[in-house]
Amino acid sequence: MVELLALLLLTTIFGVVLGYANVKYRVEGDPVVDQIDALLPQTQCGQCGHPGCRPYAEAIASGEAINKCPPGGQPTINSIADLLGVDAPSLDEEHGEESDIQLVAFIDEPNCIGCTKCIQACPVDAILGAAKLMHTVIESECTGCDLCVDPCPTDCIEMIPATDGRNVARWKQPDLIATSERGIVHD
Amino acid sequence: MIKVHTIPGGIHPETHKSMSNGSAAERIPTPDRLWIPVSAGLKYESEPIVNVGDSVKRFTQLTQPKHAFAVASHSPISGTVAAIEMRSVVAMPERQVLMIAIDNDGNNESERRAPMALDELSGAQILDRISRSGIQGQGGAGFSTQIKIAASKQVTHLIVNGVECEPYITADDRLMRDYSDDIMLGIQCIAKAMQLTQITLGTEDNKPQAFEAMQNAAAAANINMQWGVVPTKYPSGSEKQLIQLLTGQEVANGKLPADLGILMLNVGTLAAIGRAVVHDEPVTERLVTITGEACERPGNYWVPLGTPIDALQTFAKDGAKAQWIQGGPMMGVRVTDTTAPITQVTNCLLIQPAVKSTSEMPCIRCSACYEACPMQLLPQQLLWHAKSNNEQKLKAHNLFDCIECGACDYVCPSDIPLVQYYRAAKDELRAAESDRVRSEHARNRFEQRQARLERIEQEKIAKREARKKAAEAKKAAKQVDSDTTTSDKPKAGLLAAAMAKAETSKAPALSAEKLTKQVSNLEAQLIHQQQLLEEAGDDEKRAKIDARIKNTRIKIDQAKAKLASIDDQEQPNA
Repeated sequence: MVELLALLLLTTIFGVVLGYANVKYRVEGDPVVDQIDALLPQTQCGQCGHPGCRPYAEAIASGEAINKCPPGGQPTINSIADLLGVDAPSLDEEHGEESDIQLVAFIDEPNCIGCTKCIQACPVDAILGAAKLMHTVIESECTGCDLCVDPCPTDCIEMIPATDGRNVARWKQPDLIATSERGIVHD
Repeated sequence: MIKVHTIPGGIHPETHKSMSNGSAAERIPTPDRLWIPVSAGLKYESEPIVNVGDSVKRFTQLTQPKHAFAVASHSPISGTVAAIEMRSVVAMPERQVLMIAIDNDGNNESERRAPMALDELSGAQILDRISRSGIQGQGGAGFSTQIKIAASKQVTHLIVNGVECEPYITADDRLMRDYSDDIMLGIQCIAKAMQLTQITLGTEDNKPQAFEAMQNAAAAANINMQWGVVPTKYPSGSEKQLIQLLTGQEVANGKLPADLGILMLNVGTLAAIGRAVVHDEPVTERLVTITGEACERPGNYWVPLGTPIDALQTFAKDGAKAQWIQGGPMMGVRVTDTTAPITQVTNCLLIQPAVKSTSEMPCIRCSACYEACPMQLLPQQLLWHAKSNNEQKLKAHNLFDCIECGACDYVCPSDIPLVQYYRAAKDELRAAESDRVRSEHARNRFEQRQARLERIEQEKIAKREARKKAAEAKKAAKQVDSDTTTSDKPKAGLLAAAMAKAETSKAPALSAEKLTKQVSNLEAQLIHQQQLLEEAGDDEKRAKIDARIKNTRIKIDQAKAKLASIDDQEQPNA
C-alpha cells in the first residue's frame, strides 16, 4: 500500500513538474527550420520550387529532399545533411546547375524603358528605379537569383560575374613553393 | 644592449645571406614600361585619377584611395599613361587587378617637391606627409603605414625591426649599412609626431656591420636608442616574436602590439618615412634582393615599383628553367605570371633551379612541426581539419593566429606543404564568413520586403473595409432621413402622400351626416341637370348632360348605399 502511495506521489510530482516545464520553456516555432534556413544561401531564387529560402527550409524540416538548392550547391547540401544526420546526396540537376562563378544581374541601361517589372520581381529590393525612369541593379545587394531576367520586356537584363569581391581567386590547397635551402618546389 | 628573452619554436636554416650582401645596392636600368597596380593592397580599393594618354612625371599621383586602408600610388618615372587594364598578379593568374601602364619617356622629369627640415615640421604635418606618400609596410605584409600609426595613439615605444630573419634576403641589411641616415630621419619623424619615449632597434647577430652602421648613425643624429641583438633564429623578425624577444611580453590572441604600447616598423618603412617627410618624396621604388642558386648577379637593387618581373629575366642563369619566387624561401610565393609587377611588398626575388618536387607523404605524427611552431599552435591538428575544412575545429585551434612562417613545412619529414593548407583554409573560412554575412543581409532584405508587401496589402484591405463601412453608414443615414421627411425620395413620398390622402378622403364618407349632406347635394345637382336637359337644344348637349345625370345618379346610389351600411352598423348598437 505504501509503495503504491509513494509511486502515486512521485508520478503526481513529476506530472506537475513536466506540465509546468511544458508551459514555461515552450519553444515557439520549429528550431530546426531556423537552423536549416541559416544554412541556405538566401538567394530567394525559387529554383527549389518554393517561394524563398525559408519556405524551402520548412519543407526540408517536414521531409523534403535536401538537394534542390543549386546556388548553395554541394557545400550547402553537405552542411544540411550534417545538421540532419543524413547522407548527403548530390545536387538534383533538375532544379539547376551549380555554378563556380557568382553572377549578378546587370541592366543594359540604354535599353531600359522603365517598366518597373524587374523591380517587382526582385526578392531583395536590389533594383533601383521608378516608372518611366531608368533602372539599375545595386550590385552589392543582388543575390544573383535570376528572377528579374524573364519579366523584362526588352531583354535588357543579363547575368554577369560579380565584381564586388565574391569571385576573387582564393588560395588553393596546396600549391607550394620552395622551402628552405633544399630548393624543393612542391607541385 | 638590452636583455634578450626567448621565443618558443623556431628553426635554424642555412641563411645564404653572404651571396647577396657583399656589395652596395645598385640601380637597374629603368624598364620601358611599368605596370602600377591601382589598388596597392589588392584587398583595399583605390581608383585611378589619370587617364590613358596623360603625361606624368616622377611622383605624379596616379591613384586615389577609396578604402581607408588603401594607399595612393605615384608614378616612379616620367612618361605617358599607356593603358589601364586588368592584369594578373604575381601568385595567382586567376586574380586579376586593375593596373596602370606608364611608358618611360626617358626624360626623368620629377614633379616639384617641397623638402622641409624636420625642425620646421609639426607633428600633424609629419603625419599628413606620411599619409599622402602611399607608404605600405615594407617588411612583407604591406599594411598601410598611415593606418598602423593612426591605430597606435597610446604608443610610447618604437621598435625598429632590422632582424630580417628569412634566408637569402639581405635588403634590410644593406639598407641599414648604406642608408642608415634615411632610417634615422624616419625614426626622428615618428618619435616627434608620436611623442615617443623609448626607441629600440632589434637586429640579428649575423649583421654586425649593419648594427655598427646604425649605432654610428644614431650617434651622429643624436638619437637615444636601446639596442637589442637577438640570436639568429627563424622567425625572430616576425612582429609578435620580436616583441617577445625584446620585451618578454606576448601579444595576446586578438590583440595588437599597440595594446602593449608598442609600435613596430621595419627599417625599410622607416627609411621611406624619412624620405617622404623630409624630402617630400612618395614611395616609388624599393630595395629588392635578387638572389638564389640560379641567379646570375646576386645582390640588392633599387627597382622602380611596377617593374615587370620579365624585365629582370637577365638575372636568371638559365632563364627558361629557373623557378622564380617572390619573397624568401620560407614565406614567399611562386611567381606564376612573370608579367606581374614588383610592388612595395617585394623584398626579394629568389631564382632557384627548378627541382623535381618530392611529393607529399602522409603525416606520421612526429610532432616536429609542433616543436618548430613559434606561435605554439598544433600544426598537425590544423592540417587534419584544414583537409576536411572543419570550420569549428580550425577556429578552436586558432588557425588565424598562424603567421604563415613556414617553420612547420621546413621541419616536416613528410614534405607536407602545411602552410599552403593553412592559407587555403584561411581563405575558405574568410569566404564562408563573408558569404554568411551576405546571406544574412539578403535574408533581412527579403524579410523586410515581405513585411512591406504584407503591410501594403493589409493597408489596402483596411482601406477597402473603411470604404465599405462608410458606404453602409451613408446608406443607413439616408434610410433614416426618408422615414422622417418625404421630400427626399420623390416616388416613395408621393405614394405615401396619396395613401394618406385616400385615408383622409375615406374618413368623411364614413360619417353619416356628411353622407346625407352629399346625397342632398347630389339630388339638387340632379334636378339642376334635368332642368338643363330640358332646356338643351341639340342632341350633342343632351348626350353630355345625360351622361352627367347618369354619373350623378350613380354617385347618389353609392352614397345612399354607404349611408345604408352605416345605418345597418349603427342599428345593432342602438
